[in-house]
Amino acid sequence: MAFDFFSLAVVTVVAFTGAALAGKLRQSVILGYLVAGVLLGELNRSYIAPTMGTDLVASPTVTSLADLGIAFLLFFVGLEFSVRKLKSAGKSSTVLALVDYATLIFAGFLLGAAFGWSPTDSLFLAGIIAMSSLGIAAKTLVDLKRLTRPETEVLLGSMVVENFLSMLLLTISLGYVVGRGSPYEIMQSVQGAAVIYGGFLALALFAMPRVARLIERVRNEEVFVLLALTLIFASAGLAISFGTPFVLGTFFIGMAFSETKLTERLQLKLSTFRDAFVAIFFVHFAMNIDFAILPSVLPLVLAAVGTVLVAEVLVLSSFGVLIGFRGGEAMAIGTATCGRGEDAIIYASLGSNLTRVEAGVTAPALAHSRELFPIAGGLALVTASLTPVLVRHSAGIARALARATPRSLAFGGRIVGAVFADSLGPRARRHDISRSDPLLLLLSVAFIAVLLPLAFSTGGLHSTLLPFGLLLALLIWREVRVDLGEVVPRVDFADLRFLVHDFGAVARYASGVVGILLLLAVLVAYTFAFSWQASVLCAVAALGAITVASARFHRSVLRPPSRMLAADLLSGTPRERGSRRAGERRAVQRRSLEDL
Amino acid sequence: MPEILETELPGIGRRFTLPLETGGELAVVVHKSGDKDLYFREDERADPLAVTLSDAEARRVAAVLTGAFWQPTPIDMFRAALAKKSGLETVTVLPGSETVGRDIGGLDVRRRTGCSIVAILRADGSSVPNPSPETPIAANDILVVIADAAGVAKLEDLVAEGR
Repeated sequence: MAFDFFSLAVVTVVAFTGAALAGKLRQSVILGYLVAGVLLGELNRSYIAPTMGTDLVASPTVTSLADLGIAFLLFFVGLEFSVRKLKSAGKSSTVLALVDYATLIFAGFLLGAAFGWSPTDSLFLAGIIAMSSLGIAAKTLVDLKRLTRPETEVLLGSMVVENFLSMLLLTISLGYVVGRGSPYEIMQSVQGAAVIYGGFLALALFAMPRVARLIERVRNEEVFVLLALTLIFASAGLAISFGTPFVLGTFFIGMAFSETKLTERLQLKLSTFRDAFVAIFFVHFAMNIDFAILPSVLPLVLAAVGTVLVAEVLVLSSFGVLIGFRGGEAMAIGTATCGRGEDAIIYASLGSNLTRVEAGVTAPALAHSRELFPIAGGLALVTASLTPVLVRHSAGIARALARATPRSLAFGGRIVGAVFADSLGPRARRHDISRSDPLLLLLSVAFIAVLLPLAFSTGGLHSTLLPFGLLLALLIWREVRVDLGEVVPRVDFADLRFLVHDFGAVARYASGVVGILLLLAVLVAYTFAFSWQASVLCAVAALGAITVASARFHRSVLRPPSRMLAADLLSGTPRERGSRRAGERRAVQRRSLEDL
Repeated sequence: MPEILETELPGIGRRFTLPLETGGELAVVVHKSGDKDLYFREDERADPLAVTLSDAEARRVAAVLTGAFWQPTPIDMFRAALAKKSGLETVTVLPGSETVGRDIGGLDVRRRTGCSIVAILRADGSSVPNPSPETPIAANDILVVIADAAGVAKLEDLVAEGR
């Protein structure tokens, strides 16, 4: 078939118009591609395809150039995927990213279960919901001139970590889905995936430093570009020949180059290719969004938007407060991570294009593959345009939320925040995780290592892992409690206008909150395999337990236990003066607590 | 003088922050595109003011800041740099001083003030490195001396007007 210049011209004209308009309206370019693509898709279905006999969406030329776009895009993502960058991400960024990701993946599976999706389909739904966009956040912060705010660094750092988690999820889930099917096929594709992963890992570790030095010596720019293209195309072909999606190949070859000096030269030389073909990819993606099936997916799209907003604005920002950020800062983190963009769209596109050969017939691997387009597209459209608004009003949202929160919970949150601010929060020093408490770090890593298989396994393994998860949660809780016993007396609660008279109570309360959250993680991971309703119940119960604990803690610090007063009375001063002074002190403390 | 803090901003570029002596904060964000944002905040609680400069504009402003176009009192800068680097101080001879027209040996500068004159920068732009005791002192000369603070004070008294 001849090269379809007509379709290509229409697509590029529309892409150009969308990008230009987005630039004029100071919106992200992707938003422009999406809107333009959705409109073109409608026009294609209603007019172009029936009357002109050319279907833009199905055009092999457009489809293959869109594939080229995603191949280049994943190559560039791989180039940014350097372990050095991940290492520089700081403790609070890492913790925030892990909690955010875990929350959203859970919420995504919950949503999938509620709408009756299979676990495999839910995996893609959860990924789309979880993959927050660094690009949208960065653009928002630049436009709103928020780059010198105290939380900016941690916020961007956590999104880098989330990008890493996204790519991990993407590569693993692609391998996982392709790996299902007949036993023979499973063996074949699991072997294929293993060979691809192992091969590229070995390449990155052993061969790359030497190869990179050879390539660095290529002075001729044409030769250099051709060499780079050869490597990208060959990796894509290699991945296909091993039965895995081609993007895995381009991603891994990009990653292999990420630690070399060639990164910048490759970006400089190939970014034009990427920009051109990625535009086609995004427009083509948006053209797949069919308005006809919109009524049937609209509830799910709205639910996805709601889930993202609740998880980021409420859960992530609350967690930010728990590790010591102020309300406004934590909300700035929560609102800026609301945007869903290129990552989610790539994931949706890859998921919906996955095919499986069953009984000789090639079929989509996912039952809901057509619905992933409108979900990812709609989610990206809404959140990308909503994120700047939310970030601009983050201080107001934080204040409103603080007013709506029960006083004991808000007080407890700030106490826990003050306790963890130096170890996990904004004042945490870098690179001292292993030094501060190696045992705690080891336990935490083990906890995650048990939690992941617990969440995704069934049958015998599932119930075997449960006691291990509970045991590790218990051990971490005890370790945190011991550590906090030392930390709390050194914490400065002056910001809270709070006189601490019982360090033990503060340490017990803060470690108790940690313990409840750990227990919640284990129980959710365990119960989800049986019933998602039980998991929700666990979450509600945990929230209730924290509320009760906070209320009791709040009451106990408002009314110091009687033996404290007795100690004050026995401090050697004449009885009446002493008691009056103790009374005054109590009054002062009362007032300062009420100020909260 | 506080150090400039450098911070990496993933997806954006780098930020350089200078805490100001007045308690405020000046920050420059260098974008990957080469654009530069200039942020200024009066104190911790104030909202920052910000302006975005293109690469070319930023270079122009930077040149002005380094004094490439115009510097009103170059000698002040010179003095500060000298004193910091080497312990050398400079003292300007005022026109009405009794020392104008007399020579270094005759004034007995070293014994009276404890200062050792290592160079004289004349008002016409010429200089006398390592002057001998016979070198005369003229009005508006800048004496480059090695001395402690007390010595400098004594010498400043000596070359002051009306003595």
